[in-house]
Amino acid sequence: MSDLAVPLESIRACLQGVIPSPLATCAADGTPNVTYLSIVQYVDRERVALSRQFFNKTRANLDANPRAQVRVVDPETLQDFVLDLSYLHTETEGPVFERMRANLDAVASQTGMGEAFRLRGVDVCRVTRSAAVGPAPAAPAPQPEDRAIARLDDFVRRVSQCPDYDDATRVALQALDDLFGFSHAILLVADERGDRLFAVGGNGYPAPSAGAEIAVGEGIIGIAAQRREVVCVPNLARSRAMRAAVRESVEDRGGRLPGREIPLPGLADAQSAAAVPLILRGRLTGALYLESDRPGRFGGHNERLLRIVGGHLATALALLAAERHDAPDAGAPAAAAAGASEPSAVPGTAPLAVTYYQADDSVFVDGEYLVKGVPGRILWRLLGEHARHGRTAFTNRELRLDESLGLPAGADNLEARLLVLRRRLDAAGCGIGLRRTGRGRLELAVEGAAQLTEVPTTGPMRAAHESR
Amino acid sequence: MTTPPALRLDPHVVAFLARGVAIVAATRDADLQPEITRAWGPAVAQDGAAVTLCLGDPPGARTRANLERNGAIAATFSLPTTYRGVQLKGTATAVGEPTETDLERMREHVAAFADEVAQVGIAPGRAMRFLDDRVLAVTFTVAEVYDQTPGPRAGAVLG
Repeated sequence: MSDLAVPLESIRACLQGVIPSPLATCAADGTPNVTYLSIVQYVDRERVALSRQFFNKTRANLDANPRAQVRVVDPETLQDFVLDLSYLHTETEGPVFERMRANLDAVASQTGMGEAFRLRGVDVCRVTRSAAVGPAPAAPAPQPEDRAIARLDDFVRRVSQCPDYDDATRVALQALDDLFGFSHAILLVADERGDRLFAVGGNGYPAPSAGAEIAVGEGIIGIAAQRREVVCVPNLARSRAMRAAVRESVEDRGGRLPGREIPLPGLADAQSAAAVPLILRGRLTGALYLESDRPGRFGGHNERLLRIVGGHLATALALLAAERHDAPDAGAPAAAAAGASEPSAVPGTAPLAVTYYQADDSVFVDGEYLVKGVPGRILWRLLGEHARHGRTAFTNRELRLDESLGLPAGADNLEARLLVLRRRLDAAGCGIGLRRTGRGRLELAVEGAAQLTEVPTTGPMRAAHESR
Repeated sequence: MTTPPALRLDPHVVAFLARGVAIVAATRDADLQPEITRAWGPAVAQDGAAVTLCLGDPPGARTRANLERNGAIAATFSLPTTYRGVQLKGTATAVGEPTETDLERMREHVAAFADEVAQVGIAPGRAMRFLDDRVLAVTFTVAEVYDQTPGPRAGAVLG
């Protein structure tokens, strides 16, 4: 145990950067300096790490005189705490540095700040004294660890009772809402090449999230995925204001910020956000994105919880996706053919005009964009079979083995792709439906007749298409 | 205490200090241990060479003792909505109880500050939580002025 009057563990909510923390140092000649820090990060019971980005005077002062002081603020009560610090050393690699860098890079990427916001190092300091400023408010009852564990237990149990992949994605997002109050969430899955993430489902949004795509390495979600770190942005308004200030500063020097602000997939007025990478055996399998209309909802105080949730989700989803819920193999095509029926034209309705563009596997129905990429290719294959042979029943197995779909061997993502496709079709209400009729079985429903048009490409996009 | 030559604040800086800026001040003791306090109600002397502030003086704070012993002070003024910031460094010439004028100026500044932080999501009533029950008035001559806006320009000498 440390002998700090206010244990650092008890003020972790202050150490997440919702409210800027002033830091004071002092030069050898006795001149004080006071500036604001981006992040004061909890390291352990006795140490904190300070983000070092811009402040050169602080750097020089700490080298000459290790004594410093920082004030941190509880975002809920606005209670100030003062920490006397003794500078120990600067780290430019390692877990503390990487965690902080992922957070700052995510904000920089999200807001298009680029290099101007780069983390140069973390200054690790020993906390020699901690105290509440002014009359300390009644200490909030520390949340017993049991409670968090009970909720995690509930989460794990709910997810583990799910019979299949679809169910698990839905139940997991709902459970995050019920148990932890994370009421806006999007689940994304990494594509086969691992350079993009696509949303398979969301909770708490008016519009369906399925199908939205994010590039790995871009924005809050992309950086979390790329660095394999939980990224928490406790105060998006502060990040945006910071961006404006940095831009002004850069432009005054005749420079220009390289990036643009990247649209977030969720709430227009999100105040805080977190992105949790889903990692399985060292491989990125997806990401969980959470946001809130309240600042400070995510930060150091729940980062560990998010890491556990992400770890469990990655494992659970991978197991469900890998389980071959394939229909019995007894002559799959024959079994499928049993579900065949003549495409019946409904009298008086115009046929659905379905157009498929090879260039990006996009599918349009009656001129409206529906879906693209692998789900687009799958839909095109199903519609083709339906048109040619009147089939309506299909199996996951035949899709997995269909070379023309270009799924990678193993095809762990087929479930996720089918889920995106089904949700896109549900949301579009375009007259085409796809539903599960049992383990590993699908049924295609087309209202009336469909008129299929394939638009080939011979240009460079074709090459990209084929390299997949 | 020796007083370095004062400079005169640029009118742009004076106008900036009159806005709803957040103010933090730092002093230090004989061991060069710095001490932070929040500050309110800035006033710039007619000739632009001295600034008066009301400094929070909560129980246990070392600010007053530091100022009485060595006078060294730095204060950073930062606008919560834009992150523009300016830091002044100088030497205290007077430390004492605030006058009614000081307190009136402090109340006006607090109101402007509350308007500012309301725009970044802190309800005005809650912003009052930052106020200290006890304040002391400090006047210091300004020896150095720095741009404290985050970015590559941070720390550049102004004026």
